[in-house]
Amino acid sequence: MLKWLYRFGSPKLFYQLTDSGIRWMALICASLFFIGIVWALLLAPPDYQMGDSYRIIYIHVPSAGLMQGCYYLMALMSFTYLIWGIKMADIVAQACAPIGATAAALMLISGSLWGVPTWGTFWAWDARLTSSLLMFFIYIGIISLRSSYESKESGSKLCAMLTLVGLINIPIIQFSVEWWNTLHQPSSQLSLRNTAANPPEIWVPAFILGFAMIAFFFLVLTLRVRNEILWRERRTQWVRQHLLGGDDNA
Amino acid sequence: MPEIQFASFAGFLSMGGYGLYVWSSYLAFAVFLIANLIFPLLERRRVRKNTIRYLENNPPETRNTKD
Repeated sequence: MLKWLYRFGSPKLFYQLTDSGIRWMALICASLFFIGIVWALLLAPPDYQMGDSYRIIYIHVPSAGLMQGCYYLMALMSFTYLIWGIKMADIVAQACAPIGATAAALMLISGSLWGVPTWGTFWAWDARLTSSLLMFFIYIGIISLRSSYESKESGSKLCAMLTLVGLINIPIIQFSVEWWNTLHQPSSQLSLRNTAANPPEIWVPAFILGFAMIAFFFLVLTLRVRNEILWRERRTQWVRQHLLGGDDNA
Repeated sequence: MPEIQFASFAGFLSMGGYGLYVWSSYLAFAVFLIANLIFPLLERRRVRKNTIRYLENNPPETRNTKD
């Protein structure tokens, strides 16, 4: 485990190890999305109350999950970077932010589009909605803070600290539906025991799309991390050899 | 085994009257996926170009100054 961590902590090894895996990840992603979306739109039966409008859940919940999961990883990496100064952790944290921001945007858009037919409004200042919007702005704040620095390395520490401060919002989102009973309903507590209300035809595509989202996240994260590694490690011998060929022996 | 829930293609498009909301959401989803793929791939081209330019302007011999 430690050895594995060490290998991914090295930018060079990360770059080399992910080189061949990207195509496979893309293939797995594409097939999961295909199966999940066909199932969600065509095969899942309509909900007895919401009719076909509930099919938005297959987008809304995975994007909300990605928004939060991405933040957990970003916070963990920020912490690692602040404590041990591992630069790979900073690179991963940096790569997380734009993915999390777009996931938050997708979650807000799909939620609004679902809110119109089910709640009669696309927006309300409900606790869950407001704290989720705040999360989107935290992502945007982290991205703009980092881009406001001329040299990326100097903004890293501040970004990491802002990320850890923003962590306060995570439990607020999580428990907002239980603390303030305004508009957004609590989580469905989907479990294998109450399958009567939610037959597998409905929840299996949700899990498939959930896994597809996770796979997609790691695929895009890897692409972004690789780009960043190449630029930050431009002074090293291996990048020179990788890009220009192995003709120099410095 | 799950079955196709719509009798006709028109019914599939209308989504029981919720077509506008359902299809807009899935369109937003498509935009999300494409944007998240396109940007890192464009960035990859840009980074490779910039790094190669950097390396050509800074040959290994003159690299002894610590920067």
